[in-house]
Amino acid sequence: MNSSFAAMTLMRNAYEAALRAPSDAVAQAAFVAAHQAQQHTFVDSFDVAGITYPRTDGHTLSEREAREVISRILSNPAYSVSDLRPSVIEAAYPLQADVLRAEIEATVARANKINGLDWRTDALDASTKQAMRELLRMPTLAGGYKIISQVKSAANAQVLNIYRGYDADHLIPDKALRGSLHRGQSFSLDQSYATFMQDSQNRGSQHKFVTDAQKHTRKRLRGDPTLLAKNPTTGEYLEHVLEWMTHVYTTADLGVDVAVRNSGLANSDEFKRFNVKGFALAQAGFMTWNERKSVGRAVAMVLLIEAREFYTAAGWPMHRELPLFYDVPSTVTQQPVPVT
Amino acid sequence: MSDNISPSTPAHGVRRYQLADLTMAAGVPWFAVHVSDESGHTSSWIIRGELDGEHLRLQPQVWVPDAIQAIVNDSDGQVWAITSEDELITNTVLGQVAGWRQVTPHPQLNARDEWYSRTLGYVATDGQNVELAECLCWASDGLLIGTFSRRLYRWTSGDVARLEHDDHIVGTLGGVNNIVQTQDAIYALGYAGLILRRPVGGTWQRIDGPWPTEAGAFINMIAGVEGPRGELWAIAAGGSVVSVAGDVTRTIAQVPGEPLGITRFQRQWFVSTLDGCYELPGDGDTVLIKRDILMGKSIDAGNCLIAVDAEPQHADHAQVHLWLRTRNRDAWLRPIICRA
Repeated sequence: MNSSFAAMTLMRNAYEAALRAPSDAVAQAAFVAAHQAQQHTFVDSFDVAGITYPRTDGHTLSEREAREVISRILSNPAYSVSDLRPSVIEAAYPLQADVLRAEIEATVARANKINGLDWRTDALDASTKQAMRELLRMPTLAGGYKIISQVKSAANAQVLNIYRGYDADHLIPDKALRGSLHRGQSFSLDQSYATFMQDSQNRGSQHKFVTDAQKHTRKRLRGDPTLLAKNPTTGEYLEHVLEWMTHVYTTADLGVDVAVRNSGLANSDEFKRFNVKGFALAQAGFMTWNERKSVGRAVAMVLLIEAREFYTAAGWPMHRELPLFYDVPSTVTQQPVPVT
Repeated sequence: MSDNISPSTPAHGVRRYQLADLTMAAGVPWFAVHVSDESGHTSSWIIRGELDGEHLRLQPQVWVPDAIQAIVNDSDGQVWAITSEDELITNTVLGQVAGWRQVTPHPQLNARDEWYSRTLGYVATDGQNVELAECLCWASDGLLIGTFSRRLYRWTSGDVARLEHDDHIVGTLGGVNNIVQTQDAIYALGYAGLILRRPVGGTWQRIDGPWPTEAGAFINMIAGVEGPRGELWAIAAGGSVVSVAGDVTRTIAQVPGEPLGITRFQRQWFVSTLDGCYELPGDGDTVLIKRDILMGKSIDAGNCLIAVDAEPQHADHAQVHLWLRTRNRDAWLRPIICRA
């Protein structure tokens, strides 16, 4: 708990003490003194899972107003501490749990608004986009995310490859949109975005889930294997992507991976150093499951809208056919024997 | 998909190997390894292992043109595998049985087992389903197949596997991760808090886990093993170890790492995680056995425990962690199963 929250707790305790003992002049005076000492102390940040986040709403205004009410009442000799309503104290000096709850509710309200959009037609305003991006990729400490995104955009400035995907995520486009191209796959220490998100192994892991979701979608879109394959449009495919991404971001754990350079995060030290944790995900432990699901879906929705905008701008509209299926060769050549 | 591959393709960087699954059969470990070619298509090798002192001798046995989703043994010590394209593959000699095709032996391999395959369909009462197989288990009445749609099928012979139990819910993704046999029941474990039990001679029933009902959709049961008193011990994403004895489910330990496997080895129980290997003494405690290695699914191979290496050194390596524990040797090794 940071020192501002300690001050808030101190205020609450002083209030409780003064309320319990209305005739105790010392307790009354202690509350007044504490109020005078702390009335300019505001909580600017709070911690979730060991990570410090700045508060996002216009909280100081309401807190300042409530504190002014307290000052006015205390300055009138006709009133005492017992005339203060508890809700005024709570508004003036919020505790960590209240702050967190308020932040979560603001997040969920924003998420519900986003979930009412249609990803295939609607656009996001810049502030919503930024807000969700910040939720997903909040810096562990000041500067973290900025540094990462600057490094990334510098590294990618010379590259125009729509298959690389927009900044956000390996989960949508790598295989989904690869055609015959493919981005680096996250196989190993050498390659990975997150080393543990492997393609084939680790049943129960997120990456195995995504890999299988892709395989399963492909099978469903393929239909009867004896008939000629019909490719879906990009939009039809991304409709499925939205479903599995919702699952991923609803159940995601704290570590959200990010590719710093084209090489990915080359080793676990680097991974730890650049580990960017999403606020929505970090605070997920404090949400109800339904809140978590709305936020997860909103994150997926925002990423998909951004993906649509990115690909459309790059000349790949949603009605374009996605080359998921090829003509299967009549003979299959065996792979060379690996070295054991 | 594999039409432009030839054995002369340069090995550097184009072909990647990754361990997909492992099992014990006839006293030796067997590995299913995915190989990804430059077009992104995944095919597979089945490799037989044999421990010779500290050296793991490996024999590639057969190449399969698609991704093997799971590999398992039967009571005769034979090996069975299923692919993403519904091919069932075995080294059981089935040349005389109608419907089985012999898998073309690899031209660079000689004197290996004969392998047979056939294509399965997944049939429910209302017709055929498109399914992606996730896991296999031989029971006394046939081969159980768990799928990505959270359905359970049983195959005995012929072209089709028949639906045994349907836990599919539209909008709730994730499949069956593991099927486990204990002395008096068979369990299927998976996403959406799936714990299914079929007692000997009984029918499948869903068991409620030790969590609030509204959380169930978000719980991911990864793997299980028979515990010391014939009960089931299962791991859930997040680190909980859940015991299922009769209708009583309870959390018996919390592993401080993301768990991926649980196995009995030399009369002790071990959980493999992305932070290392933990022992479960059974009193609620967890004992760190090996730190800082990324361990996936593990199997009991007699005098050693073999686990998937979830973080191989290089993209073109399939590796395992091998814990050799004999009367005069206790060592952790990291053999390479195969590489380009």
